[in-house]
Amino acid sequence: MEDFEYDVVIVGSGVAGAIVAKTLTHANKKVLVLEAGLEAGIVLGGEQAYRTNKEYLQTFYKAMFKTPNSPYPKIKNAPSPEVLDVKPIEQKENKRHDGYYVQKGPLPFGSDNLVSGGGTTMHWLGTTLRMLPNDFKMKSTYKLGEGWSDWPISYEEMVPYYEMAENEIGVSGSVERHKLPPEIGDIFREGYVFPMTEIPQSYLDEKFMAGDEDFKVTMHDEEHKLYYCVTPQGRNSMPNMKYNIAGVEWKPKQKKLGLEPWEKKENSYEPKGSIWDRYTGQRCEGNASCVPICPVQAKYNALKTLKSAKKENLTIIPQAVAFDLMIDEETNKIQGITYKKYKTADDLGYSTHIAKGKIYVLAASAIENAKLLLASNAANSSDQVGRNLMDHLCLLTWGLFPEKVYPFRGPGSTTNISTFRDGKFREDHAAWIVPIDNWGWGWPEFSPGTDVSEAVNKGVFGKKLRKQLNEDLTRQVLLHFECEQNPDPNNRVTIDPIYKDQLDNYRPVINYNVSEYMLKAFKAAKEVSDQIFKAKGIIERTKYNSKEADYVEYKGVGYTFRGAGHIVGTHRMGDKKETSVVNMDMRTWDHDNLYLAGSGNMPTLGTSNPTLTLAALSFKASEAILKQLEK
Amino acid sequence: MSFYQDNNPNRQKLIRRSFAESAALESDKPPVLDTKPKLNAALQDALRVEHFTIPPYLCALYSIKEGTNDKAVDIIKTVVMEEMLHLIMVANLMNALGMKPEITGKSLIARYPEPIPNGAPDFIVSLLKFSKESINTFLRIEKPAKEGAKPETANFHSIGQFYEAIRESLIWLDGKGKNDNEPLFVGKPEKQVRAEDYYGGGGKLITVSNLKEAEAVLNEIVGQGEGIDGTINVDMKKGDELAHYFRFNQIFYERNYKPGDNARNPPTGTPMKVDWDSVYNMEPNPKMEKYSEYPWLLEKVKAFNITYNRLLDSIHNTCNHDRELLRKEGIPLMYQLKLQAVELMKIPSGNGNYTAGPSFEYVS
Repeated sequence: MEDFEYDVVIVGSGVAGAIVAKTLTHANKKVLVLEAGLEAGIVLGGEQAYRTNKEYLQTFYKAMFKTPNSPYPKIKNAPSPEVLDVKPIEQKENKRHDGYYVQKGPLPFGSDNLVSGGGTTMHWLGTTLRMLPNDFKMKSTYKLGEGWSDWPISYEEMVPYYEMAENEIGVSGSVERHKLPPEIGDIFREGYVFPMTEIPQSYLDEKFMAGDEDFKVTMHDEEHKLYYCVTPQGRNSMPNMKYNIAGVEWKPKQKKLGLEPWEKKENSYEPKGSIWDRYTGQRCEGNASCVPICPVQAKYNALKTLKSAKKENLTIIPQAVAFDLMIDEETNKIQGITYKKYKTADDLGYSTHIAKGKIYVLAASAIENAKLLLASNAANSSDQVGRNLMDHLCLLTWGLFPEKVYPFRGPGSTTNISTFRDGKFREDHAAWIVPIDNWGWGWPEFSPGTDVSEAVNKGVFGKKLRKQLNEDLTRQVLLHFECEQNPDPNNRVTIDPIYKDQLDNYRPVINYNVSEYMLKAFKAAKEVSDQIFKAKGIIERTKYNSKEADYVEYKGVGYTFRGAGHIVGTHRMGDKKETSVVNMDMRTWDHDNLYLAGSGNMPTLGTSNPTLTLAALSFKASEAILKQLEK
Repeated sequence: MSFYQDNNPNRQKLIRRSFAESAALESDKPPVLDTKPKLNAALQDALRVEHFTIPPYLCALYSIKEGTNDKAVDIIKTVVMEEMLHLIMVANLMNALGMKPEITGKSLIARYPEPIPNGAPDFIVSLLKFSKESINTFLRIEKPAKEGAKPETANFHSIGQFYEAIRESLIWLDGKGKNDNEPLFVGKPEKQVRAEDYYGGGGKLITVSNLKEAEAVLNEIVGQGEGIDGTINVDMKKGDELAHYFRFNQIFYERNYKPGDNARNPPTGTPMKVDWDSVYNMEPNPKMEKYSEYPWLLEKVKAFNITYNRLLDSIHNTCNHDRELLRKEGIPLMYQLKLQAVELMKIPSGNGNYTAGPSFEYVS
């Protein structure tokens, strides 16, 4: 195997790696995927895949804290971050370095990802919003300063790749009901529909939206209408019979990827079921545990993409942790990737191997990509590798609705308020999106478990307990204001030989803080929230505690923000070699045959969850790779 | 009931050939079902037949304790989903012909133990827990037609024969209708339940507006006898599209088929783990009358039956009035049905050796 030269070697089998692997294998390229996660986690069918999922479920059911990574194996040889390890920086050095990240502060970085076949799509919520046109040109539109950078690609150029991503993920949504402020304009092409019709909005959403046709909130002395957008999602609903895209195909003559229409008119989109049985998970069942695990895999995960790769062209090596890129000193080309193949999750002992290809793609997550580049001293002539680490900073507000709205039924969120996703205020502070959450106070308060234990501790039990829970849990509402973090070169991932994991690989060392651009947004967001709560008669229960990990104060008021799990920006793309790591094709400026895939490429984040955008970018990168291979 | 392997090209070829041959041979003389009322009655019987197997399969399925017998659960579950698909496709066929499919509890529910509607009277089907005995019954239900068996509509020995009679009737009446300028397919297209409305197993739901699509429905439901070519054509990498008979045979012998296995012999592939003991000991053929001394238990069994009757009514209304009802009403009721059935299976009954169970009786 060591002597075989593949066309392309990909590190990582998350959504980015899987899309590149699928697209290239269907264009008849020989592809090797190195996956650091366990072998059982990347079995793509049959009984073993079923059993793996069942084990995940059992672990999840038993877990004391239902965190995003709770169902999945903790692998000492290839560790994942765990949100329970995020502690205030004031704690003693050894304490705050618990877990995988080495947190240097001044604030801890609060988001995790998952090392596993399928990557973090195993636990993602499934929201598939596109970025907005202005998100791609923040610096020039809003005259923003240090750290900010426009994308080398416009929204218009991204549209076909977004459509490819929506096809691959299988998005359920409604173009007509994707409500945005009118200033933004139409973002979908004429006549476009999503592959599947929208997941029905929750009862809670309906109650929340009711009766505010004339309601306006004031921000910075300007009145704003609330626009309720039906959130597009990567989970199965009913196929939309008007959708006419069969799939994505490489056109060798035109040297581009194309969206192919159906061969026959009567064909239609077929929802992709679970990897172990295509009849399971054909529709969302409302199990309501999307994060951390959809029991029936009605929610998209990248294993589905990997499963539909052309098998004879695909080799997958699991339990293989890439740790060094071999660089040819003369040509600066990558000659090979060295990886450690471990035998069991926790036992010491591994063998070292080299994977060789014509082209290499790192798709190991924003933080792991940066780490691997830094460890190999690669692609960093701009000194931008690891910098501009970003996340959506989530300001949560919660309360009791005046009537029962029955949360905990259906997916985590089916509606968002899009009013503040764009506007002139972005010159001064961050924009945000407001998903209406559907899981009560689960996120800030661990409901419903804590509601039960607190009541029992107060001596409430039996019928009285049932009555109390029935009164309170059913009225819980939660909003979260997902604020777009500004790129800041000092928010960064570095490596340090004193911090290594069991396999002697680097742990990420993270410096992280929030700027006034964010603090101003927290203040404005809370003021908007207050007005909404007041108008709807919601009894405020929000509290921000100074002992919480990401607690900040601004103008004498305290706020706690939480990570969204959107790890972005560690190897930004740009139009200049001096200020960016990759070009618009996601090829590194420094190495002709090295591409980077994933959300690390994104120079700015916008207000949409990054998965759809990084999936779209992965198609764009695949196209560039094919072009280069077929030169 | 399916003998049809939709992923198996060889099999499909055989089915097509066989259908074509018999059509060519017999198109001149009138078939057994030579009038539309006769065909209507036969299709209504088809609904009863397709429905008949669902309660026995569900009893076996629900009796398996949560988290055990993964493969067997998977097999029975997909078979049940396919029977449901067949039921709705027969309704589509009837609607295409302008007939009125009766899917209510009143018209469909059987009194187990009972023979298959119009089937061999000596073969009695009971409601049983998951066991060798129940799987053996399922094997007999799904047993393929003997080669060269003649189409009949009463006391047929296989479902295949029965559908063959329907198919011949359709061809004949369609031809006659064309000659007489009275088209056979006069139903309203909006009554068709469509692919996007149904999911969960058995392939794609077919809508019907002409003879070709009607035959596609019958193709989907039934194939000619299994084992015509003497081998099980399984591509192990592709997985799981064996016909029902062979899937049940795998459970019975606790072994998977492997490529090249002979259809007449038991499977010889890798072992399949079957735990016959991780099963609720449901008494055979539960009945509401058996629980009359225990009003609270009777209430629960009755509540189950109400759910089951509501589910059938909902499917009836889906096929006759509003196809969206399946999603809005039918599917939630299916989840409720399972919860109520499993609850009953956990309640001791009689002298305590057995547990109660869902009785699948008609209640108004």
